[in-house]
Amino acid sequence: MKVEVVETIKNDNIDMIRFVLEDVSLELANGFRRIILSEVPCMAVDEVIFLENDSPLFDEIIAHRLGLIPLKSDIENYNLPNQCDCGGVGCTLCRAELTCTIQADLDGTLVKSKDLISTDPNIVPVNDKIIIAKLQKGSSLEFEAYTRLGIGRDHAKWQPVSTVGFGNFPDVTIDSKKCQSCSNQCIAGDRCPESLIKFGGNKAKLIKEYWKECTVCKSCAKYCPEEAIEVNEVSNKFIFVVEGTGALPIKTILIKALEIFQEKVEEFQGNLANKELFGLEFIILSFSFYNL
Amino acid sequence: MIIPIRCFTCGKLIADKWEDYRRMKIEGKSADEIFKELGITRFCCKRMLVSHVNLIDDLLAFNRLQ
Repeated sequence: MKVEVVETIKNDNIDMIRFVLEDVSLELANGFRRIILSEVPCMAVDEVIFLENDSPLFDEIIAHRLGLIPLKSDIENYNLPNQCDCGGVGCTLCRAELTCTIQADLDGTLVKSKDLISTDPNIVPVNDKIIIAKLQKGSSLEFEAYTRLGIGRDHAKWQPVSTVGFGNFPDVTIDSKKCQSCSNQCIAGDRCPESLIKFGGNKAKLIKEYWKECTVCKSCAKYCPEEAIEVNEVSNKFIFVVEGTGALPIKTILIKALEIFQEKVEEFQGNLANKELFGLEFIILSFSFYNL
Repeated sequence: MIIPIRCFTCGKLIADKWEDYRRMKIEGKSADEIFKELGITRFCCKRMLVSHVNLIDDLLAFNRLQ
């Protein structure tokens, strides 16, 4: 397995990474993607107690909005509720509290994420500008929100990434001997939506590092009158894009996903060795049941 | 009603970008410039801001406490 980072962007608005993953089968790459989406834990508001709500929004709407706010998470010092000693009731080891008390002095006062006061300075909203509600003059909003760790399989609010995807690595070859008949213009080059083919001196050429932009749309191969262009996909080589919500640093997400993957493989191996629990016949039966 | 916290399709945070979007729109910047500045690249997130109607401003006129 070989990993090569192509691009990283990190600022107030976007936090993403693009990397090339080599010598990995499609199934393994997809497994990795799915574990990032649905198994890596992060923090989100799970329970809200409203003490006062005079805003035009219902309690349920505000509670749902609070749940979707990404919170900077601390997965090292907090437990998942089902693995906590308290048994999921809620203690300081598995739960943090956010409180908000706001009395509007002006019409159209915005309640924002900066108004949430956390008991733990590590568990705070990723951004101070997230709009939660809007209040009229004299009305007030008061609530307690409890945050806990969870996984994306239970609810999308616990996904540490907004998008994670991968595409095939493109392999475009141009046979420039066939370019002689096109004297002054390359039709295929003009058709490329990313303008990756440059034409000059009776020769079509790909720009340097074209694979960063190429979407493997194959329109160049389709519209070339001489059929000089061939577009292929390199097998077992993928370009990954991971865009985080800010809940966890992307490096932590990737490392944690690999750890979970390892745990799952080990659990499966352990189950295979335990013949009393999972006899060979049972495995064959369950595989045929799921049409595998 | 009020700007959704996240994009319905991809889950990117957009509720923090609404005020900046409004401000820049009033300043007369083009949508292309604004999206570049706000770091919005996909069309699913763009439609969240472009098609949003802030109806909550109308509802605030009716005092719920009366």
